[in-house]
Amino acid sequence: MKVYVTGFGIISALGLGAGSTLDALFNRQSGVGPLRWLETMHSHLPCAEVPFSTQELRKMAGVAQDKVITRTALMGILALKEALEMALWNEHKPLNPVLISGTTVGGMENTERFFLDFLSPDTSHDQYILAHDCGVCTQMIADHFGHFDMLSTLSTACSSAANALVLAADMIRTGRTSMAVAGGSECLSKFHLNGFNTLKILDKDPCRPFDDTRAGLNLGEGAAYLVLESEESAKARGVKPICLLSGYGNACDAYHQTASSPEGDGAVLSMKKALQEAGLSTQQIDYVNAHGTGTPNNDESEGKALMRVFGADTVPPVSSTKSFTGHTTSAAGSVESVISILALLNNFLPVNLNYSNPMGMLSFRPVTDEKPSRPLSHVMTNSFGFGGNDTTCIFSKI
Amino acid sequence: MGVYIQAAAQISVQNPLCDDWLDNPIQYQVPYQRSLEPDYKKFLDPVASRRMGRILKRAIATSVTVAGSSGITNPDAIIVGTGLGCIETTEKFLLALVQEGEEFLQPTNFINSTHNTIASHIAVHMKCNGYNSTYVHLGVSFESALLDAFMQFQLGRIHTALVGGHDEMIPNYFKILDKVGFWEGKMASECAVSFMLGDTPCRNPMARIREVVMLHNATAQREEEVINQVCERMETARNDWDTLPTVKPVFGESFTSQAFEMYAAAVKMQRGLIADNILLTNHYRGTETSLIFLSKC
Repeated sequence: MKVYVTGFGIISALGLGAGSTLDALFNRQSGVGPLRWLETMHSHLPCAEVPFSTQELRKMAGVAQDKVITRTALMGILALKEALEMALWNEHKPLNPVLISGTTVGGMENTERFFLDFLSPDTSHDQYILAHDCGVCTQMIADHFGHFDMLSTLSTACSSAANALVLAADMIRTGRTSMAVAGGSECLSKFHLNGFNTLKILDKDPCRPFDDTRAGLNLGEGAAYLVLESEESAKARGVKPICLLSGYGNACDAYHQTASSPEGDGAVLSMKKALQEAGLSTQQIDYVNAHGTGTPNNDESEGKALMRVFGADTVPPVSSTKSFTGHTTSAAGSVESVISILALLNNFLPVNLNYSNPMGMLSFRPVTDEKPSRPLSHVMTNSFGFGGNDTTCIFSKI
Repeated sequence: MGVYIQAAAQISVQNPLCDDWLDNPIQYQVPYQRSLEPDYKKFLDPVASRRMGRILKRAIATSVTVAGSSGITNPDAIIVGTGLGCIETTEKFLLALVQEGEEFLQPTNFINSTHNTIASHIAVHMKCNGYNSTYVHLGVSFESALLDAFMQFQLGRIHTALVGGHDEMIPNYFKILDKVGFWEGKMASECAVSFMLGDTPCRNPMARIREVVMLHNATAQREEEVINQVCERMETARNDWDTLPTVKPVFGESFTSQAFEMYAAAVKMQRGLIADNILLTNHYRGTETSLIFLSKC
């Protein structure tokens, strides 16, 4: 059974909405820069924050002042709103839709501020106690719109949103629902900024994925959601499908909690599974949006995996757009799915910013020119998480 | 297509990795009780064991146990449901952050703080490169994992799956949740239950999983409608499906308690102690509902 994309929405350091995202990609305007909102002693580390304060996001989302909500949920609401509008949600309500969301940090932004208060007799911040749970974030996003018949929350670290898409598509394929909205949302927190910092994988300069001098990643934040729908449902609701989620694959590197295997075994498996599921040959892939974090380990491992899957001399155009959005962690899978879909629909290749020095062990160089050599028909996007949770999605023109 | 529970194992407030609870349950009169630990030497070398939090050790021990008893040592999928993940390690990192600041934090506590640490540790331990996922959806986290596995079987992508429900409860988090009345008088506890599932019944399968459904903000009417739809699809009558009293008095309350309910039902079904068709329902705080349909093999 085919799974169609009938809507998508995004918020990231590139701004709110597909339009802002597309403009930034075309104009090569990165969202990576100095921190504005997060209070941390590591303010020298460049990050890619969403360019709105939590208060501004609350207003934009139309959420009442006194309602307990998190930045992660607010970004999710704004991305979901765009996706649902595109899919004509209000005009033709779907039957029993589901929402599958990916997050890891959950309500940590408040927990890290109030944890000592939680532990003390002080009750003034207790409303944030239950809001810590990842699942509550999904509830906040869903209940803003209402009408969702089932929710679930994925947490496979940096591939969470990609695996949310996988579950959502499977729910359609098994006939459990006709519409499944899926993606992820994650705001920056001191917790994970410090966490990544202890691993010494944050670059003090803007990240340089697939560059020989790359020295780590820049953290980002954002949210993106895709509306997935069966052909029957799209037809019945009078919605024009945008593209197909034609294949996806999930595999585990089973190598190390934070490092990827040297030859990218898990990545090879997830890409191969996705190609098989889509019924596509490697030659048919026109663009790969890589996980490409900019860490020495990931880009070497993923680069080698791409050469193993596609053949060293026939790797399609590859870029990492984390040089634009930063690493949006749990949201990366859906943020980069939306970017891949924008590339597909607009027949362009998002460039890999800050690239100048080829990596010796790789046979290919990342994209530095937007103009593709042929119109795009099939695009692939990789999302890899801590613990070796590797997931690949393929989107195809109809 | 059938999905069979080939083996199951638990570590809880009852004697670990056995069914002693069935005839001689340990009784508790406390608000909060941590699990009784087995001897981990059988499962992990001492160096690895020292590096792991308790939730990881329990996950490995229950996983290795069901792999051994089912003979399935390399499952096609490993899927975990966990409400809070590795909360003990998370707390260590968080407390250091809020008490000592951002200067002297330890990477190990961050590395082991993500929810998917559990499923990935199992995968590394069992050398499984297959499908791997983690669900963190409140009191229906386990059922989310089970639903995913069930769909992977339905789509013919897998023949075997290791599915687990894992949660730990630390004193501080017990206190915090108690402060907002979360426990409702039930005994707070921890959960480690692993199931080995397969699409071909082994010699003595425990039960057959017929269907898994999750609902959000469902009215009683919507729930009944869905149950009837499932019954119709399975060509069974609604009144063929019995319910069971909860085993929370035996195993306590945690985010993944429903894993204990399915485990206990499967143990009893295998021994012929309960009806042949059982519907397990879970209503989490009035917002999330799950339905698991189990039948005797």
